[in-house]
Amino acid sequence: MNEVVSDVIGLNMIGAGLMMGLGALGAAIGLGVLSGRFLEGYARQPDLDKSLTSKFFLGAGLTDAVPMISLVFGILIVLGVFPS
Amino acid sequence: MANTETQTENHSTEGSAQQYIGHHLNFFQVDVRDGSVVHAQKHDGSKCYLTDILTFNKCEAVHTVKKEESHLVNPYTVNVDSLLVSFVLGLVFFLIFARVSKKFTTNGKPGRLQTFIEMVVLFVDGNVKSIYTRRSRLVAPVAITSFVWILLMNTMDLIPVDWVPALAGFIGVPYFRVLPTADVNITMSMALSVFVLIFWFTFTRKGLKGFIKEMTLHPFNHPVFIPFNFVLESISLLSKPLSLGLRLFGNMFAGEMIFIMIALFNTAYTFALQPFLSVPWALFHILIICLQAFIFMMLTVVYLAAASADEEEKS
Repeated sequence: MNEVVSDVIGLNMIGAGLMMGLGALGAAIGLGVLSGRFLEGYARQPDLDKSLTSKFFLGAGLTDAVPMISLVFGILIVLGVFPS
Repeated sequence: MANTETQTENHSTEGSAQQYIGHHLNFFQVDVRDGSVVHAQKHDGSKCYLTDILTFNKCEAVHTVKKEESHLVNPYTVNVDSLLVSFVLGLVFFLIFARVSKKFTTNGKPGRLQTFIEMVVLFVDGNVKSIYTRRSRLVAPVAITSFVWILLMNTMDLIPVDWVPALAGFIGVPYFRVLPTADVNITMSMALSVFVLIFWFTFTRKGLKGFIKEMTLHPFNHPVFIPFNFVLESISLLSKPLSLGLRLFGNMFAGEMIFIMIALFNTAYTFALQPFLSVPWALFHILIICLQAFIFMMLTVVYLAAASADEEEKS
């Protein structure tokens, strides 16, 4: 019985790690592409500085939100807040 | 029942990590049916009511939840802490802006506060103008209200996590969460009001006919595709408030959660680590606080602009 319980807890931990890690991976790629394109666009059209910056931050915030949510739920799973 | 009581005693002496987090994630909920505070009791173990707290009778938190209660959501509870904090912050926002706009001067030197408010107003106004190109007396006020209000509510996250619950416990309130935007009820209700506004804008600009046309003929303009179009458009319509509310909630909840995790370094050896973890996170979190308020405002304006766009403009 104890073995089963520890197996379940271990799988929980692996799942939480995957959640956090894959979320961070996707957001990292997304933010990299986003900021690279932002610099490209800025180098091409320095006049558009202001509108590009606000749109960049909008996109960065949208990208940033998803891994944050998965991070929280990962932490909650690690702490065993959800009853299994 | 005797079993749960001994468990409660154990936990209050031990103070485990889960207990601490659970206490920090518990809202100050009042059951509207009889006015009792959820998960709380008085010193003698009797039920705690809201009137007890208002008359300064101390209530304490009950950490162990009975098994049969724990998986059911009680629909009659009201989160008093979120409502109180958000109402007070909305009042602060409103009074400051009303005062400045009443004393507004263009001759002579403007005061610091007026300059600051003008900066905020011009920032929001510029962003709204760049997205919502037609005239409306509603969009810019909605935008500035959501921006400043959410910014103020998010800023509550920078108050150290233990101050407010400790202060509340001192005057006998068992739980108090000071961050309203980490309450999914608050964020979803704001998102739902944006949803209502989307409908309002669609109906006033396009009428019922235009709305039905948009829902059934939009991606593929052919009668055969009507059911498919309808499913597609309904999903995109319903995902707007859902993503709007859950994004804000998720970000603020994550930030709060990480502050709580940092506060868990409470042994003698790891205690000194806390400033080195919480200060950088707070600095990074300032960015998120402003960004999420900004994103909520921008997406509101984008959705309203899309709702009131004409057919020719859209394609």
